[in-house]
Amino acid sequence: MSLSPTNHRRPPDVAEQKSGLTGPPQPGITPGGGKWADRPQEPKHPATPDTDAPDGLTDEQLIESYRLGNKTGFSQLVERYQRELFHFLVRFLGDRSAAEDVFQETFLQVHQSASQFDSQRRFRPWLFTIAANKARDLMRSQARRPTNPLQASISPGDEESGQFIDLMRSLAAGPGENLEKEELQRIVQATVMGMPEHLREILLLSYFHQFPYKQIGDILSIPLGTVKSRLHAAVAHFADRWRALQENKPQGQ
Amino acid sequence: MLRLNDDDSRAVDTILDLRASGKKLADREVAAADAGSAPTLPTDVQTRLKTVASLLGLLEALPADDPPGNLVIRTLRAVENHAQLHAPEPWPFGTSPDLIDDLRPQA
Repeated sequence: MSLSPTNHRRPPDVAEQKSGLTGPPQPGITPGGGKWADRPQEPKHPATPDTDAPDGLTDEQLIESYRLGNKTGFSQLVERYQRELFHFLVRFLGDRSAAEDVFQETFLQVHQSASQFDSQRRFRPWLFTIAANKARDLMRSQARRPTNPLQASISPGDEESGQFIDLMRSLAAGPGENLEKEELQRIVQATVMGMPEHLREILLLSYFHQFPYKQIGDILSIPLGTVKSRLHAAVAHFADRWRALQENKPQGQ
Repeated sequence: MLRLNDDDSRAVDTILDLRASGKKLADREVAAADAGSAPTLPTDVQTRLKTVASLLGLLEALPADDPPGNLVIRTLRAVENHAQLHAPEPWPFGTSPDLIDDLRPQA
């Protein structure tokens, strides 16, 4: 199914659901102990502190148990990801209320598409795929994309051409060192929110959520080479805007 | 589209790869030193890596407020409401808010 400008593979929307295709879990079925024991354990991603399972169940086991009728599995996933996913959404959307809405829509989609989850894959990238798609949909429907003069010429397909910048030449040493915390926060937020959404999205996924490039490619349904070029463009864009905002700062700040 | 030059691109890949592995730039330098291969990188490469790390470190200033305390409950309630409205059969867990009940303190 192709539902986004970059041919993202993603679960179907609410309106696309067929009755009975992804309904709520069936009653009376609980995860059997032997089932988990037979399943090979994937190595845990080293950068997923929010997903440490106190009960020893992985995300994949929880979603699997939910598919089998154990509603607690779903609740645990929502609790487990509330901070990390909310942080991603609020940074990406720049709007707390919108982040709350998309958070709810994301887990509604997880519920609806649970039966389609490929148990051989990781849950976390799948969750972020849904969340990123929902967030993009919201931004487009509300025309939330921030205006900036560079954006008109930037699209996800523009990865291979453009102006080169050199970070060592364009940035003063120790960027941000002389700024008060609030001022730094304000300028960084303005810089990030001024980025085109596809660049902001990939930068957040990589920096804050520490997804490896390959998983980012899976989340965004783009090839590895595009992940790299888009990330490089995102960093270049961030650096360029940071520099511009610094240069345009009123004297005395 | 703005682009980094090749040296900066490699530095960005290195820094983000280290983060994805749960490591820091210092870890790489220490590991290299422990292996007896220091100095591992030319000075300009080290400076470039530190510049990139410093630039990306600015992102830490982005506000990240915690979610509202009732976000989980509201989310579970929204899912339940949807399930009750759209299920071809009655919600199999009964009429009580089962998902939410899971989060309530046990007596």
